[in-house]
Amino acid sequence: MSAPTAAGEGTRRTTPIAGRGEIVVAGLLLVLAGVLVHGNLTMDVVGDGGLLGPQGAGWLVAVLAVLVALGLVRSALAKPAPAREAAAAVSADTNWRAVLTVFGGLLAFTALIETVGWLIMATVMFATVATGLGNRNLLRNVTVGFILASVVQITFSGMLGLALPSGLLGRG
Amino acid sequence: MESLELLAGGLATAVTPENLMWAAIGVLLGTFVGVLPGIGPAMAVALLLPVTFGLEPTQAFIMFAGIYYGGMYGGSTTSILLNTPGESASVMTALEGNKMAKKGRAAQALATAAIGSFIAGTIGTMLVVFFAPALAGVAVEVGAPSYLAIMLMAMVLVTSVLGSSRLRGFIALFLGLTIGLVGLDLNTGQPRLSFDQPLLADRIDIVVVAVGIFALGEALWVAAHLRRRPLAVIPVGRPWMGKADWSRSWKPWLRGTALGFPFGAVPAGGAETPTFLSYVLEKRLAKKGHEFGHGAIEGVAGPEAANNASAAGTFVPLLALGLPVTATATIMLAALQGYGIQPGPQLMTEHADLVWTLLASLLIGNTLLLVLNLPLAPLWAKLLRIPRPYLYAGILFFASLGAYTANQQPFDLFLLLVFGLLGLLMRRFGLPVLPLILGVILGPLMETKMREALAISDGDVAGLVNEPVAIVVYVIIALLVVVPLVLARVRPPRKPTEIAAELNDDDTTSGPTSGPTSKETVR
Repeated sequence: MSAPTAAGEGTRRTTPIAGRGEIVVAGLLLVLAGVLVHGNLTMDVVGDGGLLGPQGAGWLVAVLAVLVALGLVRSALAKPAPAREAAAAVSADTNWRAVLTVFGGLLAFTALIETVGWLIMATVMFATVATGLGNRNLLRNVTVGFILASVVQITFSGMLGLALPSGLLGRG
Repeated sequence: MESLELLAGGLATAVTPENLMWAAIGVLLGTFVGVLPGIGPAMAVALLLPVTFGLEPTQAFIMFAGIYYGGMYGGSTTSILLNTPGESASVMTALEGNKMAKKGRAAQALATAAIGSFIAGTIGTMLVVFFAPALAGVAVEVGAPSYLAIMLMAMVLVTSVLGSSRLRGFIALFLGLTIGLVGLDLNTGQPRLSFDQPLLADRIDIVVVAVGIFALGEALWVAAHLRRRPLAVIPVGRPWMGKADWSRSWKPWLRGTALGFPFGAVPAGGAETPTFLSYVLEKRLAKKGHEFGHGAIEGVAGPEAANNASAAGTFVPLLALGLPVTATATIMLAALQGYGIQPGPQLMTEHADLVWTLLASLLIGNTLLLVLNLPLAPLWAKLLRIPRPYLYAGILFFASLGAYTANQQPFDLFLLLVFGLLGLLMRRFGLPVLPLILGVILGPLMETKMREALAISDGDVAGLVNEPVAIVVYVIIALLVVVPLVLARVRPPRKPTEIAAELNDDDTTSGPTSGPTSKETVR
C-alpha cells in the first residue's frame, strides 16, 4: 500500500480533472459559443435576418462549437487511465517559470512600446526572452538585444523612413 | 502554346538585375527563417511578408517567390540535419535524410533535396501555367452554390481526413471560423464579435494570427518544455552528388513530382499524403531495398520532389478559384490580397499580366534557390548552432517588429500575444493548426457564397443544392466522411508516420520524430 510508486499515482489521481485538461478547452469553447449567441441576440440587424443576414454564420459556428465541446467532454471522460496519467505527467512537467518570463517580456513590450520607446523595450524584450529560454548570461543578452534594436532603429528610420516610437529617449 | 508565350512575356519583365537582387534577398531571408528549428515555410512566409509590402508589385512578387522557396528549402535542411521537421510535409524527408546525414552523407542528402525541389518546382510551375487558366475558364461558369460546396469539401478534407483526430481538427476549425467572424460583416457592415472596439471592427489580419500561433506559440511551447539539451547539429560540407547518387535520384524526383502535383492541384490539400506515398513507392521500387531505414537517397529525393510539386500544384486552385488548401497557400492568398490582387476565375482575364509575372517569379525564385543554396549550405548548417534562446528571442523580436510596423498599432501586438497563448494551448492539446488558418480565411469566403446563393433563391435552403456540380461535391463530401468511419470499424486507424516507422522493418528504432538525441545503432 505504501509502495512509492502506488503512492505517487494515488496523489495524482485525487481530482477527477487531472489528466483531463480537455474539459477546460471544452469550457472555453462553450464560453465562445455563448459570446457568439449573445452577439447574435443583441445585434441590431438592418434588412434581412436569418441565414441571409449577418447572424446566419454566427449561429452555424455556435452550433459547431457546442457539438465539438460535447464531443471533447465525451472523449475526456472516456479517456483510459494510462492516457490520463501521461497527460497529467506532461502538465506537471511544464516549466511555467520559463513560459511566464517569456510571456512577461512580450507583454511588457506590448504595453510600454509607445511610452518607453522601441530601443529600450526591444532590448528588454530580447533579453527577457533569451533569459527565460535558459540563457543565464544577462549582460550578454542585454548587449545582443541592444545591438539588434539599434540596427533595426537605424535601418527603419534612416533607410525606410519609418519612425519607430522613440519614447523616453526622444524627449531628452 | 499561348500560355508559354505569356509566360515568356512574364519572364522578360521579371528578369532584370534589380529584380534578381530582390529574388536573391528573398531566397536568403526565406532560407534564414525557414532553417530555424520548428518553423515551416508557412511561418517563414508569414514572418517575412511585411518586408515585401514596401515594394512595387513585380518586385514584391519576385522577392516573395524567393522567400517562399527559401522557406521550403530551409525546412528540408533542418529536417535532414536536425531531424526536427518544421511541418508535417517534411516528416518523410527527415526519415531517410537524417539517417543519411548521420552516415556522413549530409552533403548528398541536401543536394538531392535541393535539385529535386528545383526540378519538381519547375515542372510543377509549368503545369500550373497550363492548368490554372483551364480551370479558371471552367470556374467562371460555376455558381455560388457549387463554390460553397467545393470550399466545404476542401475544409472537410483538411479537417477530418488529413489530420490524426477528427474532433481536434474540428475544434481548430471552429476557432478559425470564430476568428474569421470578428469585425465588420462584409455584406452589411454590421460589426460582429468586436465588442465596440474600432480596432477589432477592422477584422483580424491573418498574418497576425499566423505569426502569433506559429512563432509566439512555438517559443512559448519551447519555454514550457525547456531542457538544457543542446541540439546535435551534423556538420556538412558543400553539397554535391556522385554519379551513383544522380542515377539513383532522377527517377524518384520525377515520380515524386508526378505524385505531388495532382494532390496539390485538386482542392484536397496537403503535401502529407503525396510525400508519404512517394516514400512508400520508392521503398517498394528500390533495388537496394535494405538501405531504406539506413539513409537511402531515394527516400529523400522522392518525398522532397513530391512536397515541392504539391506546393506548386496548390497554385492551381489558389489562382483559379481563390481557394487555398495549405497554410502556406492561405498566407499567400493574404499576400496577394495585400498586393491588391483578388485570386479567382476573373484574375486570369482581368490581371493576366500579374499572374504571368507571379508564375515567372516562382521560376526565378526556384532557380536562384538552387544557385545560392548549394554553395551556402554549410553556412545554414552553422546557423543551426546559434543557441536556441537567441534563435527564439530573435524570432520574437522580428515577429513583434513586423506586427507593430504593419499598422503602428500596439493593439496588433496585443492580438499577437493572444494568438501566441492560443498557439501554446493548441500545442498542449494537440490541435492541428491548418484547419484554424483555413477557417480564418475560408470562413468569410464561404459565408459570402452561402448568402449569395441564398439571396438568389430568396432565402430558400434548396438554393444551396440547385446546381449539379454542388450535388456531386456534396455526395463526395458525404463519402469522404462516411468511408473513413466504416474503415475505422474494420481496422484501427494508424498515422502515416507510424506505418512508415513500421516499414523500416529492420532493427532501427528511431522514428521520424524521436528527436536529435536518438542513437544511431546501425553502421
